[in-house]
Amino acid sequence: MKKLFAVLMLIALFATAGAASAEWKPSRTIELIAPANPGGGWDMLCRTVQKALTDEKLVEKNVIVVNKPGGGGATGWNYLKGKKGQGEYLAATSTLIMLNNLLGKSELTHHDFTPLAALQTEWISVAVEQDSPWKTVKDLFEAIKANPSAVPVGVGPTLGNNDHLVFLELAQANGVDPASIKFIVYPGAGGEIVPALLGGHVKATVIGLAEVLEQHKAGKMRVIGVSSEKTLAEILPGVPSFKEQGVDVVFPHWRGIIGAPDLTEDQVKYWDGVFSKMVETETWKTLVKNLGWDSFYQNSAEHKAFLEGSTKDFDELLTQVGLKK
Amino acid sequence: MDVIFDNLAIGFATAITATNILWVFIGGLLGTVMGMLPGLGPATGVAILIPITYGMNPSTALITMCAVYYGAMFGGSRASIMINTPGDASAIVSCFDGYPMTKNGEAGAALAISAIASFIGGTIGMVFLVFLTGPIAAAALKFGPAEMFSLMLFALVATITLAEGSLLKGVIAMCIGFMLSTIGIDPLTGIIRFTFGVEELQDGIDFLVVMIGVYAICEVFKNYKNLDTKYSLDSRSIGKVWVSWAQFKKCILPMLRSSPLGFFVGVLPGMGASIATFMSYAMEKNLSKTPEKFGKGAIEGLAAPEAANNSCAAGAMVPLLTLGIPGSGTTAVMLGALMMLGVRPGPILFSQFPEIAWGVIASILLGNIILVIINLPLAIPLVQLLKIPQRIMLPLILGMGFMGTYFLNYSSFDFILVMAFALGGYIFSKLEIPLPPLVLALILGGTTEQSFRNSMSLSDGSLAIFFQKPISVTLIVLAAVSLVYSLLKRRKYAS
Amino acid sequence: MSKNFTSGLISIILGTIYFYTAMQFPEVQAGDNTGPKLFPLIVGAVAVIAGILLCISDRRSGKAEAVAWNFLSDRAVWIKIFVTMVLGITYGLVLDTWGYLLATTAFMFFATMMINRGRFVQNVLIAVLFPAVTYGAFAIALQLSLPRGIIENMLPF
Repeated sequence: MKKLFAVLMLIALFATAGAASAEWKPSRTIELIAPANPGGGWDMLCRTVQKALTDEKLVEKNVIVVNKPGGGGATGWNYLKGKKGQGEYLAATSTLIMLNNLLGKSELTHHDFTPLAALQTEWISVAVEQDSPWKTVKDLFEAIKANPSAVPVGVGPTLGNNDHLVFLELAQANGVDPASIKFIVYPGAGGEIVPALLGGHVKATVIGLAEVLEQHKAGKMRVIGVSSEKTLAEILPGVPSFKEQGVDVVFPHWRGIIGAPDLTEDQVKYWDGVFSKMVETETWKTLVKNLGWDSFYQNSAEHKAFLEGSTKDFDELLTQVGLKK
Repeated sequence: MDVIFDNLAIGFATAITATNILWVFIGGLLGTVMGMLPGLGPATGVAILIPITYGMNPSTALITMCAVYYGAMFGGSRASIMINTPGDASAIVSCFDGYPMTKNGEAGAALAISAIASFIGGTIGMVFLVFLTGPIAAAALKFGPAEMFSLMLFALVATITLAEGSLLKGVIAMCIGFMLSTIGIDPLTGIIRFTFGVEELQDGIDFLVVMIGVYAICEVFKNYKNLDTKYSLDSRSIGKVWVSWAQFKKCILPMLRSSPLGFFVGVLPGMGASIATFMSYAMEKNLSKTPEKFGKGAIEGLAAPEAANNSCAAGAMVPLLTLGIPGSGTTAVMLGALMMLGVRPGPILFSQFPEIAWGVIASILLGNIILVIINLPLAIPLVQLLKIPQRIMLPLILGMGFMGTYFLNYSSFDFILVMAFALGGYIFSKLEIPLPPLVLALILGGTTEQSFRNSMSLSDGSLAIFFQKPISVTLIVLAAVSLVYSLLKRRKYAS
Repeated sequence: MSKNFTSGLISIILGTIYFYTAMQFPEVQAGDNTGPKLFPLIVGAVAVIAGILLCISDRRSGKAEAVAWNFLSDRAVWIKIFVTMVLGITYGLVLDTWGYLLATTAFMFFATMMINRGRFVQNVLIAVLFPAVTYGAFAIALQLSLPRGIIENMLPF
């Protein structure tokens, strides 16, 4: 009996000592959950992070990417939700974690997780046919106002996504009734929208900049505005942002990382340290540049505040255009 | 013309290096294996390579990924022929005559002709790619929602007329396929349809889940009956892995006809190889003097879709190389991998990076030869697998089927669906309801509905849109003609 | 009942349920002018009509062929199918918690014991080797994700 007591004491001692040493570190393989199939944006983010963490030796454990597609991210996030308190499980996230909830597609919000960081962003652009008369966003919306039926707008993969919302915001700012716009939805997204615009089946599109950048440079179609704060001088000189065109719409299509629910402060601190170092590395910077992304780093505290603010903004917008469920 | 040959010379100079040829070989082998397994296809194969390609120079990376893509097209039909289990959608049609050939003891000839037809289709497709890329890419852009819908209509009608027996049963199978295709979130409005409250169904049912169920697992069910009888293939000669001249002669025209068809379908945005193979099979059956032999082991019924399938893969490269648009799931993954390497294929790829564009073209021409060299000898050990007794083979097929299912969506919920579809497939076979219209309707259902609705949006609700465009009208007329023709032929048989 | 009549009946039943469900869809203001209802309604209606036509033509033709269910004479087959379904669904239910290696070993063991009856050693061998080889090839060599489950801490990968 005495012996047992002594052993228990010893264990208790070690346990407290372990907790007191504060520094938390992953004790096994780190799982990066991509809530999508290989090849998509989330998958690319996870693979880029995996590459940067491994090559720059920022973590001591193995990093693996786990694909859990489905439900617009919900399947993968639900899986993460089951890993309460385990700091080795991370998942890719984006604006969809807010939008799905507001659109009534999912119960999950960022409150169910531990937001860790925003890492990168893409910008959303509006593009028209090369020989179209519209040179600015204002031109386009005046044409829509005059005859909405003559200006089919390609969007995809579904209504209510980032791209669609940007166009709705632009419409509101230009005094056009969002309900009057003739959206043609292409579930194949860029792969179908770009040929549709090149073939003249739609007259304009709102789409991630990366999908149309090369077409614009090659003179096959014209990008007439982007959702960034200022002109993207490096990759897209000469095309002013919406804001510079007098329409106050700035919209980053960011992606980031969330951790399992209820992570401790130490765990959050550890990942803040890792990600803040990672975004400064050459590997990360090169990959971000190659993929046509823009850096968009927020640490856990900043990101959490940002999520709160964005949720409110989206809520207002979706309520106004009648998409909120 | 001279310019093209000059460019090809640049291409071959890039492609023919020891490193590149080695990678074509490795990629081709990996692709063949991936293609064979149900559920694992070229897209997964290419995705696996992303971390490996990262250290390569862009042309080697693209060459390797193309080799995987092509390898998968070669490998896809192996399992169709041997165990009636298509490796992916493009290999469904290869079951129709490939598996009966195996049952007739001609597995060797079937495997050989499928490799040869793949080679011929792939090579013709590449020749088209070299010489006709410009005009064809431009023509493909003319395909709007209305043309797309008419094409779907034509393909579906062609498939229904293929079915043996009652036309009505084909229609019923098609309707059930459409029903399955509408399950999930409607992308055009965001409302959830036919999930009956099951959250896992929100993203719809992956057609590969249905395919693994109704083909692979259902085949196991059917074989439970023969478990105790000695497996017949042990005693019978399996057949040499080669085709006779007489057999080959039958396949020449079908292969030559199917290759251009497959190529053009491949160029169209969002069109898969499944539609190309179905259309080529329907075309050959209608042109054949002995259509009654189709489905019972007609070698030309295997050669045609195999050729179409591979030239379709060449066609799918056109939008990627000329416009920088991914024409299929696999090319989308390839695009992503290339971007990580700092190459953005766009409309100016040919002028900006000629060594990449032409290097890839040359490597695919080369890769086709290498793949035939891999696949013909590979058929010899594969044929030996048929000697494994059923009682061991069947559990292995079950295990492979489930693993493939998991890789589709990394979801174990799909296991329940697979079992349900296997049982459904078994009941259907008892009722003699044909499965091909069901599977095709499931694959094309989404596009059919969306292209119809998008056409209606564009025309503000007028059906006239389908009759105002020449391509669309032609396709609708073709659909009507083949329906009437098939009805008349059936009446003649009946009387 | 004959093959055609049964097929027709199935089509009528499925078509009716499908049609009815489609009728219940909510009206939406956002989206295209055709809406999410029309296509399902057409499909449901065609299924019902085709089913009725098939039943009528079957009754008229008079040479109807009965379905060979053989529930009794093929009892062994039906039982095996039932067991496979139970095994498959259970496999799916435990896969994520047990992990691929354990769940697959169990599934393969029971499946081989049913199909390859009486050869215990052979079956154990298959049940152990199949998951090990596939896990090694796909999860380790090719880096595809397979669930690691409760033994994840014991796995080196």
